[in-house]
Amino acid sequence: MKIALLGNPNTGKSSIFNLLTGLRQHVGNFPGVTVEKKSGFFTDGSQRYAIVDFPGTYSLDPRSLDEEVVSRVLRDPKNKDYPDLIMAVVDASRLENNLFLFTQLYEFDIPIVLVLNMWDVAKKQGVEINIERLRELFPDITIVSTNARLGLGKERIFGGLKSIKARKKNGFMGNVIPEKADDNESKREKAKARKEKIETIIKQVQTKSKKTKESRLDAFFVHPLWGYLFFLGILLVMFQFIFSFAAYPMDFIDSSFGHLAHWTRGVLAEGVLNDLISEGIIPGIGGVLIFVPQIALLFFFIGILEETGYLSRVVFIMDRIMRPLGLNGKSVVPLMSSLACAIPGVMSARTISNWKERLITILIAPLMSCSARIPVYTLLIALVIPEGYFFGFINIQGLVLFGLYLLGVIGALLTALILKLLIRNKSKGFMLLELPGLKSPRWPDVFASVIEKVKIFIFDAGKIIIAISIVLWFLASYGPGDSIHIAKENTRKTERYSKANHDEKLNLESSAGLKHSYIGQLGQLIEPVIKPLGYDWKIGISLITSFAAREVFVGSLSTIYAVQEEGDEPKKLIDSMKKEKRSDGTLTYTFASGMSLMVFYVFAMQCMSTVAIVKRETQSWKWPIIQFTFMGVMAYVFSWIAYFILA
Amino acid sequence: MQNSLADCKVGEEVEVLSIEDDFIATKLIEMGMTENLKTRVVLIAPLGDPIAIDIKGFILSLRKSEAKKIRVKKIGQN
Repeated sequence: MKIALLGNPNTGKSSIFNLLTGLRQHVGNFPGVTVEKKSGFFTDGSQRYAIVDFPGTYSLDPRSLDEEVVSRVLRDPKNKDYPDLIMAVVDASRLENNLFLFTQLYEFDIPIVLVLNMWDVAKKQGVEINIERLRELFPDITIVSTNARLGLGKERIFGGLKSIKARKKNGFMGNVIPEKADDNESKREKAKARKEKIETIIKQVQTKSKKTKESRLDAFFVHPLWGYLFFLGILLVMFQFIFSFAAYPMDFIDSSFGHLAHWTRGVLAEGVLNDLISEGIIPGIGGVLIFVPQIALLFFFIGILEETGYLSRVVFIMDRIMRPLGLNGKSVVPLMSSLACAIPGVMSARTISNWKERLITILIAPLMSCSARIPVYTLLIALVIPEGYFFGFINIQGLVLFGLYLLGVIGALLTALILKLLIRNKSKGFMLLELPGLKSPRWPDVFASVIEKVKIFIFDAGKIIIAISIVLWFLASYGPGDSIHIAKENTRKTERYSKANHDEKLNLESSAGLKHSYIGQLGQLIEPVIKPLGYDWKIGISLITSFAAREVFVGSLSTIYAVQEEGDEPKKLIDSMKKEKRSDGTLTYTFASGMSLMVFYVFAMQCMSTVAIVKRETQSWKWPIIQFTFMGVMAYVFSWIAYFILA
Repeated sequence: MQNSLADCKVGEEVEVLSIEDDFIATKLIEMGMTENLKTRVVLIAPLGDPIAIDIKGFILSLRKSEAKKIRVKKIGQN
């Protein structure tokens, strides 16, 4: 039996979904749209139920993509998600508002189980609902009451499912549902008539003894000073956790996969298959899993912020500030998280319901300098920026690092401004937002959302990431014809090689190999293009390999210059880079070319994982390609300007 | 005196007289706001926009541009 779970936002619909399905859930998209579709199943005895958790909506007259999905499925009995049963969830403490959607659902000839959720909250607020009277008014549906936040009501829902009633085709307003084609005036008339009828019902079934009081905390959360300071504090804590605590599991994943690759290399017979597995596939999987700690931590925090209702207060205080940029109050969290890593940042843009605002947020998120850029920045700063202090206390190297972050933020905001003018809006520009009551988070729901996001990343974006890393591995390990073999042979004949120890010999060989691989050839091919920026073909190679992940830049240069680092500090690499000369005898890494390279890394989209997740989140290759292109153009133009001015 | 909701201060109680825009009006009805509703401004964001009102225990935030379209009459004080 197919169940559609429907209801207003903030009714505890997801809690009911989690309560019924446990973790037997699957997240996908409704066909053709980027609206999230959570489906799952549960059994009661021998009866198996498939349930789809539809996006929360206030009415069947769609105003956003999310809401359109609901009305489209219900109007089309041939749709594969068309339900045998509607489970309508309403918040008992706000019955009057919630009945609007319910009475619209009642117009369809589909059996309904009406779940009056948050029964305890209603009681506390002095709201009494006469269920018996409600049953008399809607005789052909089943009504149960639950308290999903406390995990109560599963048995009652099962009981309700066993006593489903056939519908009598009467509807609420005579089976009248607003049509898309209706003009605004007649829609308004219909809505008004429905609302008036609901008010007469409310008078019969509900009594309210207390006046509701809003929380004092709200005055604090939206305070012009404390409100922003508190939000800043929350962001700092989140950021600290994502930045520093994620480092431990990330190092563990990194070294485990390193060991695994090393071990595989040893046990498997030598050959292409061995190389593919130990140098392509295993590092590829490791490269996917390494993001999991950051994603899990970020969504743990966002889950708490959403569950408690605080996130909507953030929107409330940030909306006016972000609006001129074409963004939403909710864009703040994705953009701040992108300072740690753009991947969870892009995924967290899902909380933004307006498509245009969400898209702009996704497109500019990777311009925020992520943690993968830090190794690149620190290497280049150590290389071309002198140590020392301005005015005796401002560290010059630190100042440059700060400047790079600032450049990213400014670039992101200016890009948002431009995109705002270019992207067409699919939904009307208005924001009526509910500020749900503040409450403590329900932990199973927080963990369910963490698991859901991790699964999306591993199974959807992961496939693309692994595929690209295998391609990159191939391009770095193979060259046209015998070129790599010959290059290595030639290296062995050099004087430097004969004087080298065993490790140095291996380094020299892999350096020669990379230079003559397809990527090496590609680096030389693009040299004329990147020469105006102050780069040579060796930097070109590193730019290409950086597409796997930005920090690979450091490793690639180490391979090219045939240096082996001991410990974390890339001292030897910096030494050999300082000596590196172009064909005309001038130094490769000057202040100008170093700054130009840093500017390039601020803007360029050198991260296949971000490309993959943007594809996943926008459901098309169009946006990641556009993003890759405009970020590339920005990187090229601004690095050129930097080099032109400084050289 | 007749005002728009956008001109109200925190804590002011008002009665909704009319809503100018049919589209916004429909959406507001769906979220519980009808003409003749008695409501109260609960919160105003630091930059004066958006504002939040209490609709029978349900807190709704709306932008100033939307609030401008709602004509209200102050109650409880003259």
